[in-house]
Amino acid sequence: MNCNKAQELISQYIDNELSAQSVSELLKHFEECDKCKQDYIMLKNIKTVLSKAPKKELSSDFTASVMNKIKSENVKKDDNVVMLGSFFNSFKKKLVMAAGFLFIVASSSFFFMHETGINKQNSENYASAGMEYYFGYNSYYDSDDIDDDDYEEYISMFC
Amino acid sequence: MEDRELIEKIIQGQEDLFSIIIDKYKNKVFSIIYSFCGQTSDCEDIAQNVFIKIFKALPKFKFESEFSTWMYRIVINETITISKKKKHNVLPLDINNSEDEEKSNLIDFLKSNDNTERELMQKETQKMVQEALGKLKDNYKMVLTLRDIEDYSYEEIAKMMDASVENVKIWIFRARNRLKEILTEGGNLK
Ligand SMILES: [Zn+2]
Repeated sequence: MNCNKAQELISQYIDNELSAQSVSELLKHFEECDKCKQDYIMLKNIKTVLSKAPKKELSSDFTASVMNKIKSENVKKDDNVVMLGSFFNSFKKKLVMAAGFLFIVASSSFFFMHETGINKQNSENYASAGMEYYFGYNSYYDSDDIDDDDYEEYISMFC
Repeated sequence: MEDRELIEKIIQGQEDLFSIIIDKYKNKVFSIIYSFCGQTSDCEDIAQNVFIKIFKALPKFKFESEFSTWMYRIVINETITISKKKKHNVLPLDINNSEDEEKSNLIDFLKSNDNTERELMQKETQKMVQEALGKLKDNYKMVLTLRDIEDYSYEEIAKMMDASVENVKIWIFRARNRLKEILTEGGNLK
């Protein structure tokens, strides 16, 4: 096993997600390679620290507070419109889909430049599943270049 | 009552039933938000807003997937979106500003193979690792939050983030290495 391969496996080893075969190969590599062994110890320590991050209990009136907000804000209003006439509904849906498609076309070249292409794949998944709720959010996984406020405005045009 | 049945009834107008959904998921949802947002005091407000978003989005649930899968995707997206907006108001955390001695202690500590439970729990260590986590790209920060702090499996994370298990593995691998870089080099090298 070379160092590149070992580095790849360390993360899965820490998560207990490695086959017995790979584990024994990795341990053998550690015997020969101090650098990878050091990296393993460090990554394992970081994981342990994270796993002990402080937790907090939710206050007991949480559910009541949300329900009150929902009632007082009359948040349902918006979505009643969506559920109203089927004509309006499907028209709106088409609009959202069309906008989503345009958005994906426009942004796919941007996503393509990213290291893994994962985001591009995601936007296509969203689109094909017809989950228009999500299309506006795709870029949050990666892009730091798109302004949030533009998004909010963009989404509010349709939702 | 199953989630599906509940959601149908809520959409049809029995809004009060949404409280059952909140009660069922609130602790897990809050925990994710609390961990992702760096244990800040406004996490409960964020969680409230996330549940309101979910409520608003209910008419768009297509009953094609599990409700929980659909719901967690909103949770993840909203948490990232909201925390991004808040970031502008937060002073940038900088490990380079930490005392040199503190920093070298941390590195020694991370290199050591025989740390005790107590040492791992130490406040300073926790703070520095949390600061470094806060410097990661959003999707890296989210996978590590879900995996290391919240203890979800690769499969669960893949569903929640609408990604493949392979991608989740790669993200976690890269996120951990980036975190290590930030902690050992101050995060200036890319
Ligand atoms: Zn090696």
